[in-house]
Amino acid sequence: MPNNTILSIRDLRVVFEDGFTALGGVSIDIGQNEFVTLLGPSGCGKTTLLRCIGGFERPTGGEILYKGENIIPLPPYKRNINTVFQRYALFPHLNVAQNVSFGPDLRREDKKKTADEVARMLALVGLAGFEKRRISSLSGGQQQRVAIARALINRPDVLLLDEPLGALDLKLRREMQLELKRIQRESGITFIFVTHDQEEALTMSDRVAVMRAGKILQLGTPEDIYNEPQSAFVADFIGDSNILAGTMVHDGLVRFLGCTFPCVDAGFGNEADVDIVLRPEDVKLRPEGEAAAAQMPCGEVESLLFKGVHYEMKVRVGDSVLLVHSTHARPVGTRVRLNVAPEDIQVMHKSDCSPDVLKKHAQRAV
Amino acid sequence: MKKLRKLYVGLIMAFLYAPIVLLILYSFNDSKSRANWGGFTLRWYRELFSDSAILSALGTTLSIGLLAAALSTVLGTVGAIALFQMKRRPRQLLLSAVNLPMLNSEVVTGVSLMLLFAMANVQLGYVTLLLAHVAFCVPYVVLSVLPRLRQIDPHMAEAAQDLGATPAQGFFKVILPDILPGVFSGFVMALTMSIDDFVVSFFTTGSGVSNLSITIYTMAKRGISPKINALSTLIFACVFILLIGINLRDFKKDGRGSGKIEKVKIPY
Amino acid sequence: MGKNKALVVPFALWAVIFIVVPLCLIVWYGVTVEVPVAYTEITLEDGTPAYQLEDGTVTAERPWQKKAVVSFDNFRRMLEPTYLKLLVRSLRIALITTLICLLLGYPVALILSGRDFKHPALWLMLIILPMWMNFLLRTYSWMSILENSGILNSWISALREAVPAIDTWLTDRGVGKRIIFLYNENAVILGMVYNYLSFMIMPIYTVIEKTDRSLLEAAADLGASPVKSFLRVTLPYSLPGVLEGVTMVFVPAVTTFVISQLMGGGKVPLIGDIIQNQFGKSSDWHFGATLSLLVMVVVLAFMGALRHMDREDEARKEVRIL
Repeated sequence: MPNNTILSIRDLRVVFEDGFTALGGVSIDIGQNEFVTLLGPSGCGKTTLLRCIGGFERPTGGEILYKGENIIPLPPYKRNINTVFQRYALFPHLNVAQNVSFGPDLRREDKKKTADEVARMLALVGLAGFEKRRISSLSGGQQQRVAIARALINRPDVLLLDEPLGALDLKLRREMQLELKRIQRESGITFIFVTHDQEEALTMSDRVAVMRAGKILQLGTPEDIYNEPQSAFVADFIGDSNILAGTMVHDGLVRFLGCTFPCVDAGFGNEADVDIVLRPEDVKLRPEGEAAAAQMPCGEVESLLFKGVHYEMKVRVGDSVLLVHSTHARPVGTRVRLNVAPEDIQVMHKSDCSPDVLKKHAQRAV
Repeated sequence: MKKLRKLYVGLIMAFLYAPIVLLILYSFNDSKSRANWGGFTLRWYRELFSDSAILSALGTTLSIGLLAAALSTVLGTVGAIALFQMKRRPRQLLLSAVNLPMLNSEVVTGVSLMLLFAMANVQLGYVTLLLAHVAFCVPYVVLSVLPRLRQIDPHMAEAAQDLGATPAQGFFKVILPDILPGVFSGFVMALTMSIDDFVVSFFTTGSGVSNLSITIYTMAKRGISPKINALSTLIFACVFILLIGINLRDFKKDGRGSGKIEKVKIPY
Repeated sequence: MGKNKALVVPFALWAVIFIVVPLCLIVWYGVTVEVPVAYTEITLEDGTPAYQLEDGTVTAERPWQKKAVVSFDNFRRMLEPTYLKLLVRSLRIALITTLICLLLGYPVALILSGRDFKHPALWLMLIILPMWMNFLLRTYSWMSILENSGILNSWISALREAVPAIDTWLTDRGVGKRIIFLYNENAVILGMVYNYLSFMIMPIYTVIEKTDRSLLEAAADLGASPVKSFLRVTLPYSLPGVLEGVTMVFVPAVTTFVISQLMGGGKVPLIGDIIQNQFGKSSDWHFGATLSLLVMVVVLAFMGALRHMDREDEARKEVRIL
């Protein structure tokens, strides 16, 4: 929890005219100079949440407290919050400098001061000397930077970024991720970043909010989210994972794939149905005949792919197929036994999100 | 084969320009009759400027054209924006209503407007002529602005407001400049339609108000004065020089590349 | 939506007043006729004659007012052979005009979109430019080319004098000293083709120009001869332009009343001339409206047959710019 909260969202709800619930009660506190990412599949409500903060969407319930004051009644142009739009929304009839100085010019600030400020902002985003260029002559990455400079020049306390890297190619995206992180550190501004790319979320953020169906499922540091997913959905969405149905025999002992495993989780009760998450890199393969592994589930390698740093294998155990990462290749058809260390087994309550809600959200997004 | 194709286009051009060339020749012909050539003269051009009937018709045509174009540009732009922001069903309903005058023939438009003015008990004259011209010009403006609106980034207006612009400031600083080419071509189209119109004007004018088309129509029955030829030659020359001038720059700049129709500034 | 209402309301109001109401008026006038108001002659108590209207009012003057009553008399009148013949002629002339425009215009559009001309757009502009000269004047100019003492005839007689062989050849075939070009159907068609040709070339050119050239290259690559790739690629792709052009020529052609008056000299009246007459000399607005209604239906039916629904902006999300 941040100690110097700048933005506090309380039980925010958005129900559209057609009855669709885009946000079903979202609460989150965001601190000064924090980099928070809203992560989730399309239709999860992350963009709606961002638009509410920016003032483009009117919530049907809840509060958005900005420095303690509810800003919901304020129109976008009266909020000290700026947005970098998905496709940048640069003004094509203006050149780079005119785009960047749009805000200061509206406030009728001193022309000379503004010009200096524009130059400073363009230097910050790595576009020094681009003042007179036309927007149409810029590459996607450059347009992106102009959009950021255009927002930053207004010295907002909070910058909202709506999937700003979505249109860029992979290499440029990596560069911009670092760049954004640098800008955020140097400017001291709070960034709220929306993406559906889990890798992007994990690399850049101080905290990540994983959203689904209009709700925040889990909020935490990237490490927490990755290592301690609280639901099968989060586990599945963040990185590759194997999600298996299991039974908690009693505290510290869980059964799945027909075998029992010691684990570190407790408090689920006896003989309770649970979800088990296993990260592919945590599943160790042993030769079938190895005596020490005789109690472990037995399977057969179905496919083998070389992925550079590791091999990716699919191992069939009964009806289930598990994804396994290993630096050690095992040919297709090899019989193996699976071993997982107790601390690598994630035990979770059965998911409570009903399938039809998910389906509706997914359709909406299309 | 290539020569044959060029010859064909040349022949069509000859067909299109023959009467125009003839008309221009007549405007310099020192004889009232069309049948014989009485030598070169500028007499008709001189007389043109002392013919109050023709000059007032020209005045009517130009003032109606400019006023109708201006009014229909404002109305059509407002309408296009309204249509653009409407929900699908009502939008399609209103859009098909707006498109009706373009699908209908001019005669039907003219007659229907005449009946409207008759019902409203408005004396036919300058005002009815202007209203009628606005009525048939607006759809063309709507049609040239709407595609422009569809092209703009949907977040453009939000971006302007995000940066501190009120909705009105956002419109004038961001949206309008962006759709301006469409608005402008709508204006030119409206102006062209208005100046060239005869049929609708025929039904909706009265009490001595007559524009060039109507004057020419009345004249055609007893013979057209060479003065009208002189006037038309002047108008044609102005438009010709204007269009060539506007376009020549672009042609010079990027040669064959400007073959794209979007880049050529032509009304229509 | 609140802000949008401020725009929608005035615009919708305008559309209703200047588009919907006028069309309704045509329909109303079309299905009604004017009849003198009914009255009975009565004698007042003092013996003077007077007239009583249906609503009971009594006047000393003979009532002159007329009232509109719903009647399909005008529809019956419209179906009289005189008017049917006119309609058929208008349709025939319009169709012939459209066909000629298509045959003349398509090649122009095709050639201009090819590589023969360095500045195709410039040529296109030259094709449109004549429209800036008043169409009445241009048509009138054609008359001076074609009339009996016109340019064409004087050239022909000059040719006849210069080359006697042609003169005898023509005389043998019964061609008079002056060839009559004007005041017949052909002259009207010529006038229409001349006036509407650009309307055909423009949309076809626009569509062909937009067609992806790589499609043609792909067709050639797959072994299609130029003729085949025209038939298989260019022609089908240009069809929307052709339809647009056909509409833009046919609609004015079927309803014009000026060209037929000038080039036809009043001898080839079309449906448009009759409508014009009803609002001028004959002054029977109701019958004029009935005929307008007929023209409207014919045109709309024609276009309905040509055009598919405009599917351009389906599934577009609501966007606000204010």
